[in-house]
Amino acid sequence: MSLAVAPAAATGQKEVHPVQKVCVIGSAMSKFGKMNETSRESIAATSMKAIEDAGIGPGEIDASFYSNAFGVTESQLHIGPLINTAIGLPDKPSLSVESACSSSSAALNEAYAHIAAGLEEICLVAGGEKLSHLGTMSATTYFAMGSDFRYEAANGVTFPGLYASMAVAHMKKFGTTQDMLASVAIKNHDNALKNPLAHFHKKLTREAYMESPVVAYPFHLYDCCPFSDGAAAVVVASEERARKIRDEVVEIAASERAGTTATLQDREDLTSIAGAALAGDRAYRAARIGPEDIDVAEVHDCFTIAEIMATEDLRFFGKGEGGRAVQDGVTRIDGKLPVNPSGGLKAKGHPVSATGTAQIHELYEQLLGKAGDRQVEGAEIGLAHNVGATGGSCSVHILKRRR
Amino acid sequence: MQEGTAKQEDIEGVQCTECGLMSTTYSVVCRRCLSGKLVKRKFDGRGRVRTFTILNVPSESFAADAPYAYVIVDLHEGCGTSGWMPGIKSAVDLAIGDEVVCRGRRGDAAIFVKTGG
Ligand SMILES: [Zn+2]
Repeated sequence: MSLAVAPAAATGQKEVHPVQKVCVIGSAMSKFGKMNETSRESIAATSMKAIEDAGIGPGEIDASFYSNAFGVTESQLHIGPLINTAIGLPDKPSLSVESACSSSSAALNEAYAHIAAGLEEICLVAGGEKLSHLGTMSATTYFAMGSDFRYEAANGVTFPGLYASMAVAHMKKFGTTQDMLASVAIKNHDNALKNPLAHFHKKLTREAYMESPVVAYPFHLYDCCPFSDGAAAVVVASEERARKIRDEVVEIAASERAGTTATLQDREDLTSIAGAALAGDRAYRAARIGPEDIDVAEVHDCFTIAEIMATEDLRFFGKGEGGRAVQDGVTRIDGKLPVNPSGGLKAKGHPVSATGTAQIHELYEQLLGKAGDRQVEGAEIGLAHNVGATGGSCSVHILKRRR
Repeated sequence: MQEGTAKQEDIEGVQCTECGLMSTTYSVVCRRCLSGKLVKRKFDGRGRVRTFTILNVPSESFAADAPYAYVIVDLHEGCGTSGWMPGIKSAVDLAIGDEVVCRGRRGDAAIFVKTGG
């Protein structure tokens, strides 16, 4: 039997007609790193900070969307009602969204859809994780569960290993070098020095990078993001409500998601994440801008090669040119296109389910000129790129300062 | 365990009867032409390394085996698959394009070795 569905080539962008524009009105993130708090505690406390930042009370939240992908490691599922109860919203609907490392950007896309459709006016989106209690071996095993376990983890590959195998392909095809990988790590460690909430506050030298142990060839330890604890939260509102609450708003000009063939063995191209490129193109179209209009980007640098691929998939640079760009300083805070001024997953840290909302928090601060020492001068339009696992799910959000 | 007469292990997968796409990944519809007419088939385990990594830090069930290689293999019959190469300890021992063959399994892992070609 042939299934009567549209051919794969026709899965392009649908025309969407939001009833309401959606704005960010508040955000917060906890310190990232090795923390004592449980996910429940850090998500609830950070949610309240975001609500306070928005200048509203918790009672004004209509619905909440939470991510806590590794909650099972704390013997807790269904965290939504626990957080809602902790912040005084026991009767409000909550939804748990799991999409591996892109969980909270997927949750934001849900909140965006609810508001754009006119179903809700103000939503809370928060994600958080407690991972440091696991230890490296156990955490590595849990992370591998985000891969195609039957074909990938079952053949001994870890998460760093999957990205490392993409790096090997990228190096072979484009001549990307170890020094280019190192340049990503060094830049992001430099940026994290200016972020008080980052996991690492440690300048990384080329020597220290090269001397660090090889985890998964060609990755040294410093090619890999750390296992971090922490939480991040965002409050989003319809433009109508946002205008009543705040003088200056940041609009979510695009909230797009797409997928990539799940298992690496089935992909035509191992040097790109097709779903990220697709989500990026959809986002540019929805926001009616192009990559040249982006002033600042937070991209998913779970491993150094991932930042290089992201900057190519988002068309900041041509295919195979991302490594050279970072080596040349183009993506530094004072460069032509700053990438990961927060320090990125690499140095700010990667509490899996906090990462998507933490990227939005960074952009919100940047666009309001509140990013302190890491402020990108004159930033008006920001892009967040968040990838689940090896790219099976991808989110791209574009934020625009509106006066 | 190089070259020679040692056994070669078949790899199970599916093929689309409409467009011919082959896959060893579980699927019920062809991801290229969306036909639901997939038939089970076997592939001989011979192929070429498409990319690889070498794991010094393994996950729990491979803790006693590190270092070793994980490979993505383009089977000569036209299908991608994944494999485990115990005994490959550094990038000096393996390169993209190397000829490999599946020699057997340990659990769900498909054990590949170089054919020395
Ligand atoms: Zn087909």
